[in-house]
Amino acid sequence: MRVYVLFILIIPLITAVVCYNITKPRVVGYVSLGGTTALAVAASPAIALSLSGTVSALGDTFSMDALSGYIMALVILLSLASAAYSISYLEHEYDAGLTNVRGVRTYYGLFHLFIFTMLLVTMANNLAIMWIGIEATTIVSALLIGLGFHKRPLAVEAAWKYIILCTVGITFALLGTFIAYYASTAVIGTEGALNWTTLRDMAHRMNPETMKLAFIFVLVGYGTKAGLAPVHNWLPDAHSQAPSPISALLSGILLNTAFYGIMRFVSIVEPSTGSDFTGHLLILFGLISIAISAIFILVQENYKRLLAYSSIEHMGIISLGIGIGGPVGIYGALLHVLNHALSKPLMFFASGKIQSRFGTTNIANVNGVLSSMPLLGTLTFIGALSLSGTPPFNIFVSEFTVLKAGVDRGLWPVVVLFLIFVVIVFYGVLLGFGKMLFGRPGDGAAAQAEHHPGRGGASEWLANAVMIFMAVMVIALGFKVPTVIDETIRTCVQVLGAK
Amino acid sequence: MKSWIEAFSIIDFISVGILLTAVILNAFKSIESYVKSYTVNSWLLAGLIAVVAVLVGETHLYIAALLTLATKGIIIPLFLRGIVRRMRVTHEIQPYLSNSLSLAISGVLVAVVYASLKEGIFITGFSKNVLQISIAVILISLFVMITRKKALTQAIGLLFMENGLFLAGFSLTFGMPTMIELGVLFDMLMGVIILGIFAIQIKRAFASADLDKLTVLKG
Amino acid sequence: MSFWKASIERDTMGYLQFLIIILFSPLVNGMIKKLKTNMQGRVGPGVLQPYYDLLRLLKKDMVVSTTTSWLFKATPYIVFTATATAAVIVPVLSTESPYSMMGDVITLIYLLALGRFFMALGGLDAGTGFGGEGSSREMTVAILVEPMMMLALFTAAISAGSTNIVLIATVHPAAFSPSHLLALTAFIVAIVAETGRVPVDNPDTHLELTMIHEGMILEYSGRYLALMEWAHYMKQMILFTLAIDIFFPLGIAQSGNPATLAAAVAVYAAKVTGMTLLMALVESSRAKMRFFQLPSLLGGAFVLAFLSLVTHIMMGK
Repeated sequence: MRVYVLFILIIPLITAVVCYNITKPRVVGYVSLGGTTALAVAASPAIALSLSGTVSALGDTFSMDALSGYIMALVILLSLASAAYSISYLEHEYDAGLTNVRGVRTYYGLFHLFIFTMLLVTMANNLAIMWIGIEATTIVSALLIGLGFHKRPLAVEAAWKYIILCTVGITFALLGTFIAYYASTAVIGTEGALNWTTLRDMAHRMNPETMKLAFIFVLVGYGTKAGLAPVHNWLPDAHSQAPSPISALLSGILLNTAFYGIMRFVSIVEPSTGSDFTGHLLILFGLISIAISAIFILVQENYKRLLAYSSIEHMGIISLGIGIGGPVGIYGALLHVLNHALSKPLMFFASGKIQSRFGTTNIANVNGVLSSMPLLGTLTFIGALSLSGTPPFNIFVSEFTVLKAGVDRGLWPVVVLFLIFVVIVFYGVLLGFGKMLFGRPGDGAAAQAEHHPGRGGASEWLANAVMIFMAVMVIALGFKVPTVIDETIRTCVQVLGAK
Repeated sequence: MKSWIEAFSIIDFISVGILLTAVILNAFKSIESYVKSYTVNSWLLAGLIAVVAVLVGETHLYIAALLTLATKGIIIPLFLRGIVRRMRVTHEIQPYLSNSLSLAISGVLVAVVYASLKEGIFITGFSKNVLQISIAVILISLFVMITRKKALTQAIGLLFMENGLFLAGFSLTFGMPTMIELGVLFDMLMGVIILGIFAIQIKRAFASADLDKLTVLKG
Repeated sequence: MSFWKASIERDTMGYLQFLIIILFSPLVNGMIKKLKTNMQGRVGPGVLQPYYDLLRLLKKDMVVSTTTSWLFKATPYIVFTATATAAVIVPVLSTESPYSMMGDVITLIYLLALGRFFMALGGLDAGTGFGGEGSSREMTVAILVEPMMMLALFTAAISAGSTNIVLIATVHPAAFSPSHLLALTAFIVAIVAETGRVPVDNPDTHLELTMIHEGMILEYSGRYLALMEWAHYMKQMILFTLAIDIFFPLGIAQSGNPATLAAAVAVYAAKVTGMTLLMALVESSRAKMRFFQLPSLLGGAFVLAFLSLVTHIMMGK
């Protein structure tokens, strides 16, 4: 079993190197997809095992428990989807002359490197290695965002803001990690003092004041990476300027890996400081995020930015769920992770298609998607309904769970605010996408926009298949959460130590 | 060790030196001076680690000192100088706050840090002074990052912040296991390289290295 | 009998110290000028030139403007007396002096400030443009310099627990802590500003752009000018002595013992020579700053002094 676990890390690295060295742009995409499939195959046994027990490698440095397995499964699922979609997206960009061979190769190389860094985060048992992984994701994703395919100076601006803000944040997170290390060495000496498994068992013996300080720094740091307001400023730029499949990955899983870091820290900090401290902070940041994103969603003119703000909102909900705590709250948060990871990439994929069809990201310039591209329109509609929290789609279920947790705990002001903002978001998202979906095509500037029809063929089919699959999942999860997932999340809740 | 008592004063001198190089950042206008100040800061940092290594006698601290010197003291300054030459931007012409004012504010920041960290949750002695200085350095570099306009100045402010952070962590924990320090340093090195690349890209895309121009994405 | 003997010894020591400053201050200025000109590759005036100048001025007739008031005539005497009083307070060779209990840092600074105040008024009194300009600039510099100087001295005073110069001199043999070093740097900048040296002011020219001190004394001649110049030399030497006492008083005589006194004389002479060398170096290596840049320089030194205080409080050293 140990060997398998390391394969999970090695495969994406190999794929990255291979992809970078292939010179035919048509071939690279399929090679990348193959590599991702191999990754999925290699990871499945490890994930399956981790859901019931702990899998370790390299002594205690890497270990996977249920939570790691869950997040890793999401990472790999989304990588598969994104890799499949990337093929048609990049073909389109290449045909439109927006990139060259070098750009395509770099894209795929960085893509797999990015996956490697995220896997590193989920597998790390050592808090410092987790930090290294998150910093590495920042660097690689900054490169991906700034790839900009040479025609978008705005992409460089977005990448610069991203890397500066996130590096500042992560530096604070490192300080928090140091402080936590200090607190743990004071109790157990230097042996294994950074390992999460060790720390979890003796967390109640650590100095509460020190851990409070550590948590504040870590929350600010990883929270910047997770897009929590008020340190979210990089997110709308970065997620809207990045290529669509990358935006999908960024919103769908990168934000979640940052939350993964926060969750791990919460479970170490809570035993000594009590859950009030961490809970209140998380609820506060969560509410602020939801509030700010609600306001900005209402005034958005760019649909990709709208999606980015929607990500902020959903991260706020996750933060709220963890902050409210208790098994119901955490269950809701974790379920929301899954649901958002399905809905958001669906929307980004769809918007990528819309962008290539209409040539603009401006809402006002796009009309009649539903009538001119029926399949895409329907998928977009499903995604928009889901993101805005409409029943009976999946996001509604997890939002409701978090709400219920809040009510159970008697946190009425929180619940009321949450409801108000969620309603505002509901209105904003549906309004924005509704403008694009309905109406007649050819209204407005889109008529003059350049029309790049898809090449048709295998890649288009693949991209459509991916989106259909995600839409189906979105609907299915709205009706019933499959037992497998339910069991997994319950185990995760236990792992996090919620009573 | 004959250096026991000396070492304590030396540690104080070096840490005040580190603080000075951060404060003095506010007084300069040319980006090359920033790089020089960063170099001195890194060397002082490596020196501090070496002195503590002598004091405590752990070999992995010597390695840490050497690593710090190599990456932050030599490689990164050389890289930065290359970037400055390539970008052909030499001066921070109009910061948001005048140099004297930002110098004064930095002084106030230092006092604030000292005042607020007096009773600590941390062990006193060597750790406390250095911890206060390191947090002061972090705050001052954050302040410099906010009030300046050139992309490179922001990057250098970030580097100073990482130095301050390194110092803080070091004062708390006497360094982490070497592998992890290697990983952290490597990350930072990569980060710096990426920053440099992007700085050049910004110059090319916007024909100016002023971050003022980077306000297209709004709302 | 021995009581009288001891008290005469002590009093003599008090008078002797005072005389050292009065008599040797022109020499110090001459030394600085000589060193400076040598560094600039010129021969320069002799070291004793200030004495000759003072003697010459004392013998000359005075030309006094009719638009001046009693202030103009009183100022030279006030300035000289104030500076001489400050000279009495400062311990030069020994910490045993009948005036030692008056020797407070704050008193000293304010005596010097008294002199400056009257000098500025005197400059205004004649009603000329140069005088007014010199006075206003001098006051601007003073506003910036005095707080900085006080802060630097306070840092040293805090570590000694008192502002009495004698006490400060006996507590620390030398300034070997970071806060002291920072304070010393700030104090040196203050000395440069107070003594009117490059880069703050140029003591060699009478051009209107470069005058601060020279501007204020432009109207004086003859005896008055001699007194003003002498007071200026004395102020310079007092500040040097202050720096020496506070930041590296090693070697100062702590008793009336003739052997330690002799040693103290030698040490003091060496230290003053060191200070003159430093001043000459500073003057030769910099160009005079334009007046509007002075606040930046002095502000920076102020932050340095502030940091020294904060560092001292934090580190306790």
